[in-house]
Amino acid sequence: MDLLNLDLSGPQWGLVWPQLIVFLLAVVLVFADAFIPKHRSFEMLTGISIVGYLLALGALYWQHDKHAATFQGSFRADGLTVFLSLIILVAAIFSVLTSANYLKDYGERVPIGEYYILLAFSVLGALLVSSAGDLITIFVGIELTALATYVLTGYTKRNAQAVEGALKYFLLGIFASAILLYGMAWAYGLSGSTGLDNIRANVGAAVEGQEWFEASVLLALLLLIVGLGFKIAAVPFHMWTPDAYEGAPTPVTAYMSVIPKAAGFAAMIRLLVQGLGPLSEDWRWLIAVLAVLTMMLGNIVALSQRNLKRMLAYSSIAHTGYMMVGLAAYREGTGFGNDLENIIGTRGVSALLYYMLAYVFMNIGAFAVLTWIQARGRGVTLDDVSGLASTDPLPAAAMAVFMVSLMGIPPLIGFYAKYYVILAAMEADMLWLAIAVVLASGISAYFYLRVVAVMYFSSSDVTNTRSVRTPLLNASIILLVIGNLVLGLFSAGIVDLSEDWTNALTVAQTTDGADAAQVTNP
Amino acid sequence: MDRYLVLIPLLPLLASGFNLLVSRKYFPEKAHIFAILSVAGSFILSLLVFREIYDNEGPLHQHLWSWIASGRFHAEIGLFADQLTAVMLVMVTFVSLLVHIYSVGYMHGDASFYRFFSWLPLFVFTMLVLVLADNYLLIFFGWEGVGLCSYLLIGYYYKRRSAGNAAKKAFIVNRIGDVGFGLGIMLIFTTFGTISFAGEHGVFSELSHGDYSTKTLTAIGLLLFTGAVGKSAQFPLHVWLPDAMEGPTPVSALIHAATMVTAGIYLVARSNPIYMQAPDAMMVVAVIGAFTAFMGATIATVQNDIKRVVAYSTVSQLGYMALALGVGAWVTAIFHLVAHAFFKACLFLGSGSVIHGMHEEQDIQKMGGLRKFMPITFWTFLIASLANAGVFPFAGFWSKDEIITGAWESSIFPRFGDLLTVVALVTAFISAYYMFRLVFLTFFGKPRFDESKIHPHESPSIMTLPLVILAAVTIVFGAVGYPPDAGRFHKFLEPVFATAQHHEEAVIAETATHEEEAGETGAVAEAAEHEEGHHISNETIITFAVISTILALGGILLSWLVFMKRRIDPVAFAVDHPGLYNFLYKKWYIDEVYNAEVVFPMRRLAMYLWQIIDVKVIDGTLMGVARGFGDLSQGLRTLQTGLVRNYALAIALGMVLIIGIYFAAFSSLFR
Amino acid sequence: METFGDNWLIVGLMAIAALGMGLLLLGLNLLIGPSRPNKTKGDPYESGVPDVSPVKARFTPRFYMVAMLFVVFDIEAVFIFPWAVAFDALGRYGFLAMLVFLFLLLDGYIYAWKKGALEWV
Repeated sequence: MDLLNLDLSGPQWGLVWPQLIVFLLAVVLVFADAFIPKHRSFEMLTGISIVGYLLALGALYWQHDKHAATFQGSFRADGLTVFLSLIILVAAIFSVLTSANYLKDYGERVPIGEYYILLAFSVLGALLVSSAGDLITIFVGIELTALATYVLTGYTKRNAQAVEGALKYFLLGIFASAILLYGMAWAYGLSGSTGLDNIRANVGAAVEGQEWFEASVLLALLLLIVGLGFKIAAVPFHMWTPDAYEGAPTPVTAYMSVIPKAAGFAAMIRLLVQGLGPLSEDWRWLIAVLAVLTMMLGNIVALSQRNLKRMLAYSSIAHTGYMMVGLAAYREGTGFGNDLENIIGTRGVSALLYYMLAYVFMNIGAFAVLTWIQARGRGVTLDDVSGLASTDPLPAAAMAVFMVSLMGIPPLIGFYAKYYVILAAMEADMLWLAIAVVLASGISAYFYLRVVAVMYFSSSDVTNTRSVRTPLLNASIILLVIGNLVLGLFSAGIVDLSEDWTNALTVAQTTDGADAAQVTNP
Repeated sequence: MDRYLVLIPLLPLLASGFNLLVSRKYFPEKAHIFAILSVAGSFILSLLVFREIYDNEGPLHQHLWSWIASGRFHAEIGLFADQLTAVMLVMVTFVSLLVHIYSVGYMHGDASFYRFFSWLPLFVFTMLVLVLADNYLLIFFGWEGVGLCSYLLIGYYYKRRSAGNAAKKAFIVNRIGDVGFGLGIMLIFTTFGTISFAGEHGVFSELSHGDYSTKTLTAIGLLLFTGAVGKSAQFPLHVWLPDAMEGPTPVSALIHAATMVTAGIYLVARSNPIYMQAPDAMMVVAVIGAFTAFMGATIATVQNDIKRVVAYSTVSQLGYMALALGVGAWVTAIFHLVAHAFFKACLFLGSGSVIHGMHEEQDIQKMGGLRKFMPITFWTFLIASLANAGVFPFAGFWSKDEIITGAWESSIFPRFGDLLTVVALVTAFISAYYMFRLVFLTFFGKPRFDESKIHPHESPSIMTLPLVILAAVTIVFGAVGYPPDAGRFHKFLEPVFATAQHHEEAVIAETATHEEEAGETGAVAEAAEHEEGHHISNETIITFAVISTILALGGILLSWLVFMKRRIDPVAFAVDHPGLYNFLYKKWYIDEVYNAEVVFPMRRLAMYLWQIIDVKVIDGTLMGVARGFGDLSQGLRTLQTGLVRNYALAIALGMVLIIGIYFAAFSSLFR
Repeated sequence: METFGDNWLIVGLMAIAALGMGLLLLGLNLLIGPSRPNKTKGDPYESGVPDVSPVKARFTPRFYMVAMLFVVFDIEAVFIFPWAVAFDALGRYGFLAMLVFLFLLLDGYIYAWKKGALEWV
């Protein structure tokens, strides 16, 4: 009975503090929601959530120079973990700030506690993916994020549109998960291990010269890309996005346009780069083609949307395309193994990471302003924001900042994000990809600027607005605007931090006993 | 101290932001307090920086952060302060502080008081960034920033059409120079691989190690000077500066006389190692400078608007500075720059005081006899005028004199030196003439205004105090430059231009060797004299001091004869020589030439481009493309059926397609 | 020392015994019990619910609630059994891990309870 001889000495808890804090936050929220009286619950739960995420961010600081693995190698604390967790936690904090007033406004009809609990679990799932060193952890994390997001989409359960969006998202989501799991099964079967480092070593060593094996690896690879392509909403697996985005409550849309996507990209980097990096010449062309399709379709269809939430849904598809360019710029030389010398495209992944951080600020910002408008009794179509600048100059200005940033105009953060992505594409000798990004941005200018034009140059015909106070939402909008203005100026420092991700490519030391699944060839 | 460099520009920025966001709403009448306090803080910090550099002689360098780092291109944000920066810092903050204080009185009761005190500190911020920058990109940022502030402040009275036009003119004319500057920065980057000039791997240290072609360096020098031509109002881009007098007078004093317009001079002086290896570029600088000096002075002799006279005098003085740069008298250029800042600020503030006292009257033909109404203004104005005319012992005398001897002694292009010297001397004569024409017409003689309607009065003490301070500085400042060419000022600044001097001597030595081979013994002796330490002989200095003093006094005398004694009737002279008079009065017809040769053809071209190229070709194409995308968008929209089974089908089909294509095309299994 | 074949022999015997027991009981039923078939008795057994009903029948959500709670505790049992078997080998770490698991379950249970999921309203 080999199973019982496993070395189960304790894991290194010191490495998992940020993730553990979010986990504890979720547990505490469950208890708190059960016991705190209803009239106090809004303030208490909002407070607990923000404090929890801030604590996790603080704990993340101590992780920043780590390069280690624990839990038998299924948990990695490395540069990639740190940067992805940073993105996710920042997005989580802004999600809470953005949604708080909206929830309160909804009042008795929705259970506030459930929102924060689901959010916490979803964030936890995303954190798990970003720190995963193992197929199982990736899958569990992805599913944890996705399941919580399905429920959040249909959170306003009396709204038929929300339920419809949630159901579509759920049905297609499990379909994609099945494909992903199938791909993982192939990867496991071919390498004999679920550990990413082992997969890297085994797949790399075995591919050469074995045709059937190469074909099987390719199949595993393609299935994984399809499964994850759904999570990040890449064309042609993007169909759920507009319906789910439109149906979900606006703050939830803000959240689901960022965190599950971040989790999806985290899984992609972990799987494709860390696990299947030696096959980069096989997958990067597929990613590149999908990237072009994604950004083109996203931007073109966004042209004809009059509903801003749908427009932003297509815009988020387009941004997925830009981010995939960063991934496509990753190149590993023909030699297999852990030789970091022949990797040229590490900057592509850094650009992708920076883009994700920028995207948090741009996209949550845009949805936050929509939430602000909705809270005042307006709709979310172009007509509803018409003349907004004359009635509410500050939100209109904020919206203009976010739109222009999404468009990629200096000195806003969106420009720097695109700049680094384009640069990475050019360094990887993919000039056509860089040109595609520029062209796609050109198309996108039309619908982003149309929002600005309508806000500033049309007259307002919306009369029946109500005045409410939304202090947390206002604070988050201000912070997001500042982020958009300032983070670009310090881009070099942030990109430096994101360059640390490369230590995910080397095998981390597992200090807690022998690795459970030792490398065994099939 | 180097860790606090950033505070110097930051304080005015904070004040500006605070006034714009907070004061505007809650205490618009108190906005000046924050502005003045912040600039005073910057001034004190600048003095500390100056003292530290004076004591240690080492430059201060503060690296703030990396802005963009990608591949070969690194844009770092850093501040750098050496002797040159220290001098500029103290000058800028000192004049700014005085102008801020003065403005409290001058702008009192203005409807948008807070706006004035938001833009003015913002200008100080950008100007300080410009002089503190450690790379050309950051200089460019400051450069554009001061341009923007200048635009905002020229057009401060935006309800006046002429102010709006002047602001636009200033901005557009400056853009022409900026294009050159921008191209220059790009050329610097492609040549040296960096845009930072300070530090180990900066442009200057690269320049001293590597071997760069003179042609490239000349191109860089000329491009940078194009920027300077725009900003420092050199011919042919000087046309914006006189029009810029539409702004409030304190703005004219600070931006369009003392600080911003000297940015171009600063840029060239800062880039001195580049110019020293590009003698052709230096010659262009010198010739344009001399020409500008002469042209500005001649125009100033016939203008009637008090501010315009001073403005053309500024153009002329800036020409002097460029001349000094061009002949390689670097320290002298900076010396004149600082001296000019003091006396020209004093002149502008003085004319502001006159305008204030005369109830917004600016025509000097309608003034006269103001001496007894506003004594403080008169005396300070007189002192500054003497300095501008270059009369012993005021600040302007020392610096102007050095420029003339510098031109005479110039070793870079010996044949031109004589001509430049003559032009400089003639200009010195004209300067004295126009300056005293202004003084006599304004302050002496009988009042030519309606005394029953206008009651001139002395300005409040908050306005006269800065005048007195500036006049006092003007009197004593010359002392730091004594003895000529070896004064304390020169000793202090020498390290900045040390490489330049060194190189110059090398060039001379080389020339000498060549000429020695040709057998000209005289040149050898001259070169040997230079090698002793680049000191101009006392005889030369004294000779030129005497000549220029005689010329200046001659100018004043002529002016006295014309305007006080009426020995020559200026009106009759103008009537007798209508060609000359109109040529000068219409400012050499330069604006007219621009209108006919540039603006009008450009407008024709623009009409053509608009109606034919733009509307038909470009719009047609663009609209077509846009309509195409619109149709495509509508078409692709229909794919989104809303039916979940179709979505699933898309996923499945996509998967099958991808796997199929990959297996067919890339896998070796089916081959 | 047991061989490979011996193991499978036991499994085979077990299968035969199970099959025999089933056949035996059914046979006895056939022999002893009275047989008076009618339509209702001939229908497949559906826990007392009519086997044919309109398609759009609605169930009260209470059923789902109970079913879901059942699944949760069912899975818990599935997880605890193998743990209990290997309890000695897993040691203190295994014990703590199971405690955490049970704590989480308790957390969910308390939540469901407080939210009224256990009440048959």
